[in-house]
Amino acid sequence: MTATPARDIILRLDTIDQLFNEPDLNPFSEEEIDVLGEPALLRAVRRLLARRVRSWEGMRLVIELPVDQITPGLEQETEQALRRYSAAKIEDNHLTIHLSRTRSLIGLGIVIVLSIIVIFIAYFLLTNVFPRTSDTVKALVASSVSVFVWVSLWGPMEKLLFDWVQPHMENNILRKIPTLDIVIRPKS
Amino acid sequence: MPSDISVTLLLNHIDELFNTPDTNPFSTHEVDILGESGMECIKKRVTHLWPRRPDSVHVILQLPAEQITPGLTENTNTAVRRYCTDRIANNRLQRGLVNQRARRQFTGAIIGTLIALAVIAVLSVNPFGLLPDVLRGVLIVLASFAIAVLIFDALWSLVFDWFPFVQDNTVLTMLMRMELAIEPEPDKIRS
Repeated sequence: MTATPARDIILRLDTIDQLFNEPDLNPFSEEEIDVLGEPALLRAVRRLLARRVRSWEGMRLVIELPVDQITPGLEQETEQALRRYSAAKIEDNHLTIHLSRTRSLIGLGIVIVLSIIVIFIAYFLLTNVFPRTSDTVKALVASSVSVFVWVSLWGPMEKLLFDWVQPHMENNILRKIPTLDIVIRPKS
Repeated sequence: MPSDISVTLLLNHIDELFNTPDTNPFSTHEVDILGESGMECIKKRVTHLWPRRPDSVHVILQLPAEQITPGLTENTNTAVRRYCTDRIANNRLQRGLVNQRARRQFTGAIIGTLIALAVIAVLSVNPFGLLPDVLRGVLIVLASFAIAVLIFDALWSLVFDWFPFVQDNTVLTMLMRMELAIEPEPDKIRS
């Protein structure tokens, strides 16, 4: 398997900790990670999400460090750390998805009950209390109620249908990252 | 189906039960891998079951032997109860603020609805015959849609914003009752 430089994910760090921890924000620095002040791994995950990688073959994670930061066995330790971090983060994202689904389902239940009550009240008013209401007003009330129900249902439905996508996609990337070839080399 | 939850956490120091350490996946300690406090780790285990509640939560904290002092378990239990009580109170406060904002929003929505209804009434009567029927119809429909959206926005806040606080408090109430034990870590496995 030959890796082409174009498929390398290159992270330039001052210490290996910056892979997982955000450094202080420092726009005076020329290093991207300092300018944005965010953990290098999360930035890499976001970039990969944006790139929609289809084939992971030949892709490498290249970490560039100052020479004095490179110790024997660091590659293996980093690989294990990435594996641990990814597994924990995947579990965390599963919890996020579970909570989002549970909340959406409860919300959907509440909204359905509210919608039924509103529809019933509107029907009762128009048929029993104001039976002589003109058809125009009836149509108006019906359209308002339908918009209300539609808009109310949309919120929890949207959460239920789409909120899992982002953490799920992040998990797909996190599953792949520990499988990448990890190269640690001195900063040029 | 409710069940028991058993958690064993390796800590470097008892402070890590409440304070977040730096993220350090080079360590095998659960609290270090994502950089979460011990309480957060325990909370996540219990939250996995939410909205169901476990029958009981058993937690074993493993510490370096030299860190275990007489009375540490009792002190930690007291600290956990205090932490949970304060967090629950804080969540109630936050929830109250959110509800207050939602009620204000709802009041605003009612006022907006009344104004929109008045506009609809005026448009329906068309007292001066100034507007053509098509335009009147469009304006009436827009006003009625505005009512629906206004009420929805306010209701959304009332119906959904309490979720995170209630969920957090349910879990914290479980944690207040958890059985906590402290024991020396078996051996040094931290890299």
